[in-house]
Amino acid sequence: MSALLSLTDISKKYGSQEVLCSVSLELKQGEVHAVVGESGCGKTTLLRIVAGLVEGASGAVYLEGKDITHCPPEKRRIGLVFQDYALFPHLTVEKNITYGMRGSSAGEKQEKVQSLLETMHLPSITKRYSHELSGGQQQRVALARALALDPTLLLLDEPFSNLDPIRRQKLRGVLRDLADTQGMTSLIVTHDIGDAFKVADYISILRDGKVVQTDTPANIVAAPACEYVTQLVEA
Amino acid sequence: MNRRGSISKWFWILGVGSVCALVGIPLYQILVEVLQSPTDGWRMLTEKDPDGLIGLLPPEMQEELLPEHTVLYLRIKSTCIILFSVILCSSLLGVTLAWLLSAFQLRGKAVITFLLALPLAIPSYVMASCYKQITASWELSTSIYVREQYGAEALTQYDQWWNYGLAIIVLTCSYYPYVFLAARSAFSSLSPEYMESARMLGDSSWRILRRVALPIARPAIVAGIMLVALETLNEYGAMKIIGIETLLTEVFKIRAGTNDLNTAVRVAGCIMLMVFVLLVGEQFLRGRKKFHASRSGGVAKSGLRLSKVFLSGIYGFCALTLLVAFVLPLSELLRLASHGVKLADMSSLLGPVWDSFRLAIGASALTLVVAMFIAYTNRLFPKWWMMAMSKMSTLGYAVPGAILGIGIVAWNGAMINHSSMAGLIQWLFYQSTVGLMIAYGIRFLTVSLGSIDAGFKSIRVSLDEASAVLSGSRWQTFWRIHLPLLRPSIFAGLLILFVDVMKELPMTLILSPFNTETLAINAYSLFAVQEDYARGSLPALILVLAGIGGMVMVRLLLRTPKTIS
Repeated sequence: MSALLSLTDISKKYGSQEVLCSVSLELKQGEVHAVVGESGCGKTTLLRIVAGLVEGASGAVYLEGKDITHCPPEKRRIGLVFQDYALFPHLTVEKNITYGMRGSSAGEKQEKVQSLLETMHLPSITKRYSHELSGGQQQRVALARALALDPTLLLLDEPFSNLDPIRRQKLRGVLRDLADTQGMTSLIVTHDIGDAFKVADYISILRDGKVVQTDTPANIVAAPACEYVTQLVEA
Repeated sequence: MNRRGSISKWFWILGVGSVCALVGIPLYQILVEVLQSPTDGWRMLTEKDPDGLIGLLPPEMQEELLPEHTVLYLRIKSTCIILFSVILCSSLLGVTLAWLLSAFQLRGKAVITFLLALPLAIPSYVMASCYKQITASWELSTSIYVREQYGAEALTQYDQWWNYGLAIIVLTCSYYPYVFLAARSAFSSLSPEYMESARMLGDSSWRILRRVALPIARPAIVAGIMLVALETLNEYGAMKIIGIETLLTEVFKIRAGTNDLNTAVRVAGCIMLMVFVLLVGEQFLRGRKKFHASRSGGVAKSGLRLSKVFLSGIYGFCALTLLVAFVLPLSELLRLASHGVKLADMSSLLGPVWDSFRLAIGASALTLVVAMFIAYTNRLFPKWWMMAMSKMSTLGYAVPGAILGIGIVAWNGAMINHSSMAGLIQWLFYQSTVGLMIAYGIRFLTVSLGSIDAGFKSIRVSLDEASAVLSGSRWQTFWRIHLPLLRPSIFAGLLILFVDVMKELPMTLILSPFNTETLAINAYSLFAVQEDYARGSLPALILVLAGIGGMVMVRLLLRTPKTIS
């Protein structure tokens, strides 16, 4: 089966500092892929390059076989959940979720909002504003907003930070459910390898802008590629 | 708290309370006058046939002679036309410029922002005089054409619409920087994630402006628009020079003509009602929404790249705005000053220069001391009631200056009739130098309080605590810690106030002592009353140069905002 997302030789410099160095990755349809690394290793930059929010990177990004390297973010049909959720504070939950659904009728929008909120196990909070929601609810609304576009790929930036253990578990359940029942492909960046082990099909370990190992969680535990990965697994 | 601490607390609270009371007095007096039974002057404004004379005539003559509308209706109509047109044009221009400078990757953004704020240095009545001169020959030739082609009746209509057009252009040029600066600052502090999120959901830059940036930055933009509205409602000089009768010009007309204070206050009350409706309207529209969106980085971080053609278009648009709102009027002033100004005209300026400087320095110093007192009390007692009192003390800025002046005159009138301290009150508040300084203080307290409060907030409380631990008394902490650290804020506050007081016209016209003529009054009377544009250009130029100098110095002083921890 051909890759849904393919990154080839992605490099990026900020001034003289090299943030990413020749990173290549492949994600298959329905796969949950986690990129794990410490702060400043370049994982968020990698995510933003896939989203199209970072300019001036070298290498190529292919989505469903098409080269989207120079395609603007609004044309990529990729969903992105920001670390701080970035819910628009002047819009209700419903308006946030339907924000990107242009061309849909009011009925279709309402139906979509209801179905997404059910998937996210959210009570009916459609008329609330983001500041009236808890942190966990905000994240699930942000996820629903990203899914409302029926994206080809879902990107999540540090989705498990700021969540208590119960909410982390619930989120992992939601992400796995999306992959297993709807075939949603997800790319997650996280600094916590524990979360990656529990949710991802594949994990890439990033260190100083380079991928040091990509494999299934079981293989990473069984055969770490280097001392750094061993330390990361044992930490 | 021990007894000494309790007394000290009441000293601070009573001090701030007295300032609130002083600010409230003119507003209270306006309310008292409005609630009294109206005089004949009010009937003249609100009735089509106030004397009942037309009613005595045969019905067919009545129809012919009875005016279509009351005077009050006409004044409200012209005020509303000017108000809403200026709000619309200033908002469109200010927000568009701010968005262009915030959303795209451009060179020299800081310099362009500063240049586009420069029209604030030109008082609106000076701008009006310049544009009246610039367009004089054009107006004449088009008037002759209209008269020949369409007749005298069409010319009256044409004149009226010409004046409206000119007033709207002049006031937009004068006041758009309020919206521009507010919007620019709001867009700059907008979280970049919102922009990126909107892009990921399929929006182009203009759609992001309409759907995300504008709604989130709305409170700041509306605050800028409110300033435009208040300044427009307070516009007297430009209206007189251009020749439009509004509610405010009617207030002055009544005072100069019949001196019917009750009617003048009632008309002023109509203006206050408009202010109130605007303020309440915004609160109502805001509803439950929350707009806090401040984050470092701002939109600029995700600024979009542009083609060279589009980039040149943006630079061209900024340059055109600067040309119309600043370069043209300034060069007209310089042209007027370089032609036909004699040495004798220069020496006649000495009096107004002295009056303006002593009033501006005195009022700035007085207001600054009061602002320091309130800001320091805020720091000592960071409680909701203190915040409320501090807000109340700045209410004077929401009241057009002329209305504040009328309120003070009305209060003075009431006190003379009822108080045993009438002499002292008259000396303190009515047509005296001290009275005028206090009135400036009431009007502009918010300007200096804003600057000092921001300065205090940038000094962490831990510094006060460290000083206390090192056995510094409250006074020592203030003298040795706060004052040196507040120096830039104090000077910035002083400068802004100084320039504002120098430019102030309507309130100064109402409250200035008989032997005092400021540069603003001097320029206004030469432009509007004597129509001597060449001589008027001299005091106007001094005002503009003081304004530009003040803006440059404030920018240098506040160039590196920092938090002292």
